[in-house]
Amino acid sequence: MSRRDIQIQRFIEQILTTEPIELDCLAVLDIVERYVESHVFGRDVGRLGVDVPLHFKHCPDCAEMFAVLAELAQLEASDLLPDINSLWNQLAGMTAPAIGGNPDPAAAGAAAGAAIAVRPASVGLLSLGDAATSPGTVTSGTVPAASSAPGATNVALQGPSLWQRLRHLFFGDAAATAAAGSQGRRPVGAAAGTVRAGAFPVFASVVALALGLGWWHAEQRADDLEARLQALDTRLSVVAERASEHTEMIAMLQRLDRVKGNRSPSGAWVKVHYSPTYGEAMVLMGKLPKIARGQKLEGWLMRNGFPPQSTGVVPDEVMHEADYWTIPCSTPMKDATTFMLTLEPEHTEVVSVALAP
Amino acid sequence: MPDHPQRSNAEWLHDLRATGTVRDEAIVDLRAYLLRAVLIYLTRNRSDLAGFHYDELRQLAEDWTQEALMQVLANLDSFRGDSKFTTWAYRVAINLVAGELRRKRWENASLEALTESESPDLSLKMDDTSVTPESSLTRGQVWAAIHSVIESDLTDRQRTVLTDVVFDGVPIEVVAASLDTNRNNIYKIVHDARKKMKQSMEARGWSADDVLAAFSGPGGE
Repeated sequence: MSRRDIQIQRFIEQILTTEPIELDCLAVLDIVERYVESHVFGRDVGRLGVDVPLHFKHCPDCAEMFAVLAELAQLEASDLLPDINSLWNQLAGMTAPAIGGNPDPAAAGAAAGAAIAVRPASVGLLSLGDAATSPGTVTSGTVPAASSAPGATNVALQGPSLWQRLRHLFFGDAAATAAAGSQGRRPVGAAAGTVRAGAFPVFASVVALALGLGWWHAEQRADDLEARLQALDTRLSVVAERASEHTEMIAMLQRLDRVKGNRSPSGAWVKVHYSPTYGEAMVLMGKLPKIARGQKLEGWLMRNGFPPQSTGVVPDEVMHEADYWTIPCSTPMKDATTFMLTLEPEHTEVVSVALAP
Repeated sequence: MPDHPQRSNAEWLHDLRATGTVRDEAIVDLRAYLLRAVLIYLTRNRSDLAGFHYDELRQLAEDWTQEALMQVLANLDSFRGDSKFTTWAYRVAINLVAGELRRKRWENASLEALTESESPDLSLKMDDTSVTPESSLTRGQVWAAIHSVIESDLTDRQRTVLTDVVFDGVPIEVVAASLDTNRNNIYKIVHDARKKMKQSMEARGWSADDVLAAFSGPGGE
């Protein structure tokens, strides 16, 4: 297939996988490092485990950034970051001969180290951020040359990079395959079965993590929760633009299509944004009663004819910071389903919200 | 001594906000992390680096690292602590380098020619010899529907963005700059176009499997 054919085929796939609401580049950029670490360290990402990969499918630039960040985080977590000299050497092998001759990789590495040592740019930098630090504090003598640790292992150089593999996975990228082959690496697509069977455990682990779904609990503070709630009930899109710092909240809210709220005589209030389809709910609450030592607030889903289903204890950070609480909400929303907050162990009902008649 | 000393997030922030030797050493360490990230990015699948001289690329790598370092230091207060500090710093560096490299790749391309073309080539030229007649027919019909949406339902601006980004492979940053907007808006424009095209396909009752099969190349799945 020609390059144009591949572009058309890819575009057709993108059209077919288009969703009415997608995370945009800014939203993904705002969360990408947390998303990366969720994969590398096996944390749950919840709905974003669907929404972010979908964005990557439609945005090769963001997918590229994710792939290289995942590789960096994986290497750092494994204490396998390559030494800088080896990277300079590899770069020398990839580029056109240097002006004035083809550099010897070893010499190039040494030269690279020297370049770091004498490069004065960081001196200028220091004068920008901190007036208390005089320009020139960092001298060439304090800048370490790139280490050339003997025997340093660079596992990332043993086969197609994670980036190439993910890029191929997402896009079937012929360029990535060709590039891998041209660099003496195993073409990704040519023998995918053997490649994925065990030659690349890092790849296998990342893909396995990428498939994991769960809940991502993020800690975000709300500056003006009441005001945001008013807006959230009416125009999610407007809030999405105004509150980009709450990206993951907006991303989840965009998935949730119903909202119910109630207020108790004591002033405690609860709003539940939820989607029976996605089995997710976001609970926002305020003016909760003071919790005495030994007490806790617990959430419940109640249905006629069924025992109460606990949604768990309200997390401390929600209590203290008036933030949101995500809960699984897979119970079919019928038979007068009600979300209830109770004060335990007295079992005092704080407030209840009828989610379905 | 390893060239990537470990620090906790709190230690990074403390040291980078300190003064004197503590800050200097933290900056040197951070710079090494960023340089490594830049080099790893450059050495991964950058077949388009073949046109660069090593000296030139080495200088660019140093400059981009320096710029990333400045951005990180200028935005320490925006680090929310919900990832490792180094991962956040990597993101700043990679975002910078990726954008710069894409721009460099296209700096010699004639964007003007791309954006001012009144009738971009949207003809379907895929090889029909390796697919069934039914698939070939479906392929033609689907493409006609897409073409119709492009011609009838998109604004000039949407059409320009779509053809540049999707069919001509122009980097989003480049298109955004040429239209005096940002990459987020470019993504939204393309998203809106995709939605219209998907609705057009659904209105015709075409299944995703049929459409995908029609556009699968030889040996495609």
